[in-house]
Amino acid sequence: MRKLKVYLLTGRTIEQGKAKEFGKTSNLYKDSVAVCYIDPSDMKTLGIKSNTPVKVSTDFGSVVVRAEKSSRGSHPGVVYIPYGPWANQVVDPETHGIGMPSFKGVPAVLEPVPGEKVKEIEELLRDSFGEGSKR
Amino acid sequence: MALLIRNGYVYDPMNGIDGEKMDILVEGGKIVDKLKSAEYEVIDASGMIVMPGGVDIHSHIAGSEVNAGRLLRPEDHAKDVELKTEITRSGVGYSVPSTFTTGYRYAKMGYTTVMNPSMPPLEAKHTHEELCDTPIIDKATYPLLGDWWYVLEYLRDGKIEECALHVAWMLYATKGYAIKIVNPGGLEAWGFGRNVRDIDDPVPYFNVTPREIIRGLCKVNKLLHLPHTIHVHTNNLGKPGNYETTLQTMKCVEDLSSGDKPCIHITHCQFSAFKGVDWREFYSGAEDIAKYVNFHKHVTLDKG
Amino acid sequence: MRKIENVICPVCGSLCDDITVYVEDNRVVEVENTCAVGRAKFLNYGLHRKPKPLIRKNGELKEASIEEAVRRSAEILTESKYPILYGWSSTSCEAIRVGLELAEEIGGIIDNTSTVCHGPSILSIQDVGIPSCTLGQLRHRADLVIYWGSDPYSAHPRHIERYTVFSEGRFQKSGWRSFIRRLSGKLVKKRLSRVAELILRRKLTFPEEKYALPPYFISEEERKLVVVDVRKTRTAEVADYFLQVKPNTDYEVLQALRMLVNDQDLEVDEVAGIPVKTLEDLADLMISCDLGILFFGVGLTMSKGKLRNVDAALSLVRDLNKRTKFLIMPMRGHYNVTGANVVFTWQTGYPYAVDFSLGYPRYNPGETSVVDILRRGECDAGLVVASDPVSNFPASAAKTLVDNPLIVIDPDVTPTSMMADVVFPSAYIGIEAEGTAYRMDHVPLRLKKVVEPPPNCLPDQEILARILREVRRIRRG
Repeated sequence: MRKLKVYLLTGRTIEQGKAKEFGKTSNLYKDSVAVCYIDPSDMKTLGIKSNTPVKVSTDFGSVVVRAEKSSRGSHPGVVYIPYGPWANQVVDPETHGIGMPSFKGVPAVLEPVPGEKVKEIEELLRDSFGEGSKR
Repeated sequence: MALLIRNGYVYDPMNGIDGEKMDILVEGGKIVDKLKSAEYEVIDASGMIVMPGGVDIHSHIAGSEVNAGRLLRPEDHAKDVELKTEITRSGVGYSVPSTFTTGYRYAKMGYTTVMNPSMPPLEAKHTHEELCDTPIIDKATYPLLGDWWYVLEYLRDGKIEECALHVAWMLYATKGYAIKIVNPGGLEAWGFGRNVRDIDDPVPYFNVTPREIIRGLCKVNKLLHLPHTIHVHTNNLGKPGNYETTLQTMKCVEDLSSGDKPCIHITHCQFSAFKGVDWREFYSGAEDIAKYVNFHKHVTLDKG
Repeated sequence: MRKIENVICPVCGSLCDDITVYVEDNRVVEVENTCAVGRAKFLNYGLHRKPKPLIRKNGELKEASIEEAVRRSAEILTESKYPILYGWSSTSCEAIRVGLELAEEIGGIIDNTSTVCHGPSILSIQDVGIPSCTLGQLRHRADLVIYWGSDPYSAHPRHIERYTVFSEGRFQKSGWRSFIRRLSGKLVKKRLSRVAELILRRKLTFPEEKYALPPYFISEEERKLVVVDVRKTRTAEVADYFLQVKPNTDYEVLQALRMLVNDQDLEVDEVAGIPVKTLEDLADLMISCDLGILFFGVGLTMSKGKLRNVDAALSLVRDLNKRTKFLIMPMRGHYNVTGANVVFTWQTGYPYAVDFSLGYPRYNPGETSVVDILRRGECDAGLVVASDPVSNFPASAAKTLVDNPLIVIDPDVTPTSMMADVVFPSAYIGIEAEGTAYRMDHVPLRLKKVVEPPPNCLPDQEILARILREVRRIRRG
């Protein structure tokens, strides 16, 4: 399958802002943040359509999210995943001595992964953190 | 334990005592004429000044601009720290101390009251929240009213009574103690990056002069019988030659005083008392200002 | 049904104070004037809240009384050597004050969400300073509004209509008229070109001038909106001018503009792919306005350069003040993150990342900031108030938080509360409890209570006060 080198941005969207008020365990929330907005020309290069699974990998991890065509003009080589537990699997935790991780402009690799599933929040947390403190 | 403070020079304005050498007796939490107890502590105040309290009439201790100062000086807080104790909170000092430290240090110096002299009305709540976290000392604060749009418009139109009504409401709403005026007209001009050159330079867009603002608020102050006069930070503060502006500011309300009561207070006057034409050649104009103040009862000032 | 006016919306840093709320049977049933996010909060609050406090027993979260949860929390905090108290940006100033007292009592680190948001901006402000103002000044005076690395449409939806280009002020009119004109102009152009194509029987092409500023720009008197971003956001779509920059190149573009504003020549033809001619036109625009404002967002703080990007922006605006009146303001995200910075600063001298472990406040972002402490694995307990770091921190940092005893005070169920050891469902500030919050421009506003909270949902301030009392009781022995 083809892969593409991109820059990953994470941030807010109005849909994510609304959906979080419906509860972070809701499907509405998951649909609003377990998603990657991709430039249409990049989607063509990779041969993928909206609403199919893609894997975003960085030096810090990888995560499977749903691909969506971006309507934010032309921005080839830049992908956008809204803030949330999915995005934070792959952002750069390095704070460069000032406390602030790198949530934007992280070099990443994008590839279609047909057949793979986007994890539900409980599964994502379990795989990421184990069971948490077991006292 | 009863207390005898012996032989000091006592200043007690409310009771008309003006530097008399006398003893002060304290018992049961009150000042008394005679001590009942046989045992008492003695403080030898020979050569010292004894005052009923310490009142700082103008000290920036609370509010948005003070907090901005704290924010901008992390490196200097690190030099001066206060540890938490059983009964006190921790804090930092040096150029702009944190609030708990401010209260404790003022109290340790013997101050009993501190007036926070400028409170932007829109952010009055911030000033009061910080004052609430300033322990021990009594406090009050003065809202900035000299460039408030409603005041400028009323004074431009000569509506002193309407202005007084509005100012009364502002003092109530902001829980303020006195009318503070800073660089009258200049603060509004700063909205577009400009300033006023002297007390007769009209404020851009508002067609009212600093002289009219000062006189108008002086009249308002009298109408409202406020406990303090208008508290004025003059135009041209810090500029060589500004002593003339200060003299003009004091003169412009000379006719508004009644009897011997002051009707204007010039604050931190040392910065408004420069002679000379530029930074190379400036020198003190304090003598001219002092001469004026000594012969006119309507002005009070603090050096700052 | 009760109608309550002038309610303040407890969501983003815009802190809109013109909301009307309709209450029936102790529930908000309708709201007016909110944006989509505010509406979602007012109409859906509490629907996913657990009704009672929870304590993890044998790996599972079980219901408990408030007293038990308070006791367990106090035990966790007093047993810990280096606890973290985090969050604070979505709760009241009153709660933050108790939080600071608690952190000081247990000798912990207290940090707020600035640490992963505008912390770098604060560091830059401490280096450079900041010429700023309140939002009302902009509504009245600003004729040039720039959003750089910020997309109000997504995070502060009513910002433009309340405070900037689409608002009416004493000295400026709303820009919506020119917006409508431009929109009609675009539609007319589209239709005319369709007609022309039909007549000429061929496709028309218009030369793409990707970076050129519109010709009317400097002369036209109405307010202007400029957006600088890496993608054409929805805010960019309503802008008079949109400048697209490549990711991680804001620093060069800002410094290039600084040089132009300072009358220096650029010895190159383009900077980060943008023609110098465009930058010159933009610099002219900035110099010739009456009052300009540069709003910047996490596009600057989170990408390469971080605080240096903000450094450049602050310096640019400082330099612009030699030529005209120009101001700058960070777009603060949460409704009381500014309040957290303000309260922290007045009580401790420092705005975030405050370490009380030596008995007095210390501040060194990079050392005393939460993400770094978590990455170094140094904290051994956590108290999170009104925040969701398990969702919003890089996973490797969140792991330390999860691996240690964790107390959460939050009205909502979040991934953080799902991984906690003690959970307090609290009351929603601004809906079920009163509180003070500071808008992004430092104006303090009093949030209202419009309905009663359920019995086990106390305001954050009260829960923290009880934990503090219990901590003191344990420490006295």
